[in-house]
Amino acid sequence: MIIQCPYCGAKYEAPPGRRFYVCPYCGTVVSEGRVYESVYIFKPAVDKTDAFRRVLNLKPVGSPDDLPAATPTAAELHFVPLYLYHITFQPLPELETYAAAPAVSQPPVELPKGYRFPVRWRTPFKPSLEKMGIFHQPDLNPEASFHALSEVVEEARDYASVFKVRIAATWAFEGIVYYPLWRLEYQYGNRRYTASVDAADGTVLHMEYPLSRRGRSQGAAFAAAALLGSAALGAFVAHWAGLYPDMGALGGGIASTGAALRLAAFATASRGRYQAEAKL
Amino acid sequence: MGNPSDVLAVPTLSSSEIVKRAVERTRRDMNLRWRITDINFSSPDLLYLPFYFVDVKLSADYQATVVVTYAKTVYVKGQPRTRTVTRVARVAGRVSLSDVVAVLARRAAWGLSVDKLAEHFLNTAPEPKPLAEAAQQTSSAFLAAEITPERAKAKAVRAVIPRLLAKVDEDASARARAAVGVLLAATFIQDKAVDYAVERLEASRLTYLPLWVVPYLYRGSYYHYYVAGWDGKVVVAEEPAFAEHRTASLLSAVAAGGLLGGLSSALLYTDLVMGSAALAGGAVLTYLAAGGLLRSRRVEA
Repeated sequence: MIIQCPYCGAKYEAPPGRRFYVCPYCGTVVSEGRVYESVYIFKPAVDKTDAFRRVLNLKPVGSPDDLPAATPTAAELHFVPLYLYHITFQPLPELETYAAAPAVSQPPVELPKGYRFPVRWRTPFKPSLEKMGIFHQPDLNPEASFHALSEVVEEARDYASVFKVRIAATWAFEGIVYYPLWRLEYQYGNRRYTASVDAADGTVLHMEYPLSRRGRSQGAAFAAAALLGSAALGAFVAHWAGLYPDMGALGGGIASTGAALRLAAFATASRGRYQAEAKL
Repeated sequence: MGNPSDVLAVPTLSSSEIVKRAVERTRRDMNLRWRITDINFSSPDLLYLPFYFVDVKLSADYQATVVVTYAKTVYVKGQPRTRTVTRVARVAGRVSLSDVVAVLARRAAWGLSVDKLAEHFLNTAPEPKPLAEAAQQTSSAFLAAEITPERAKAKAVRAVIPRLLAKVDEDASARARAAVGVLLAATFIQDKAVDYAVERLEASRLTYLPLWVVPYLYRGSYYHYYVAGWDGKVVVAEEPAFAEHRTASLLSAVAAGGLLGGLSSALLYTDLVMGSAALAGGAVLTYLAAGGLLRSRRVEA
């Protein structure tokens, strides 16, 4: 179906049957005849050059020393839509809070588990900002997205239960916040690799990278060392216990397969993969 | 978030002083001191992070059913025999827990450095000043607070409840052992009913703590120190994983595999299930230990 945006007048195609429609040109949200003009944006604090610098200087394990000299080939600034909610609790209105949750089922870049987004420091969206990057349209209903914020409700319930009060949570849809993420592509040798960076705070979220010969050899050497070392120690333990050392060596070898397989998988992988872990 | 005149901030040292403290810390670090000539510090960034400090005291009246298992020596025809005895005790009691909980007044998930910063604040207790005084030094580094003091109280209560419940379990176990009349016994809380009461719950004024992020370049890659602004203590240090750390991970994998593998060869003769479990356990432990070999960065807190 074709929808005409009541704010900027642009026409856009959208699948029928949705409760909320977002203009891909100005971000205005239309729902059940009502227009939501509360559209905000987090402006990117990290530009393309800085994002590439952060990725190529990260030096994950096994990457070649000259990775910073890799050639950047593409950079896309994606704006992921988040639904902004105002959540209130009765009869404890003082627990009211704002929270944001992703409005898309498949973000354009992989996000670490439990990635939480800020709600303050957003600025009102202006149609002129639309040229900054690729704005994604929500494909989840605010009702469905709200489930991602169950922790906020649970927290209030736990608090209320201590005071022996039963609370009912109600939320109001406050608008949309666009959050910036860089999706990068670079070339090293003849191959291309992708990476993603949080454009608001510069965290490298994920990165594919070439594995150097030295890195692969180290992985293979570590795998062999784990296997042989465990077998030798297993033989010693068995001998100490008065058993056949070769049985102990076999046991040690089998027990070290966890490390050996993990390291061998790294050494033989077509490319290395880095994913952000705990945030510092 | 509240009246600005009610907001407090801890004054910070200057950026040059912070870098000086970071360099001093590097000189003392066991791994970095030998590589200090390869390290170049860049200019640090200051962030003022908003916190509420919630003084909370909760108490819990409980009733619990506890299974107590202990070994008893009996004499059969003059010979000592060990028997396992299981008894059920119903106990009731009251425990309380008080603490000051630091709650970051933002929803976005910050990480380890923020936890350590708050912990260091509570340990060193620097004096916060009115916001206007601290803001004279800097104006753009203050991160907006996103939650109200009431919401901070909710977070603090939520943080304390699991610890209070653990204390209930501990107290119930001790009472059950006393009821049964044994000092050493394994206990299992079969069932419990807990009634909470809030004895004290007060949130401080919104307090901004200064956190400096000090980047340093080591062999073409940036790493960061996270430094408490008021005294220059490095609360979290991100460092490269060096050969010595990889060696330690490799030795852990070898030790786990060798010891459990060797042990399993002994166990397989007597108990096939336990022997197989030891082998599987060894494989899991070595898999985890190998993770240290694939990490390019490490964190010292």
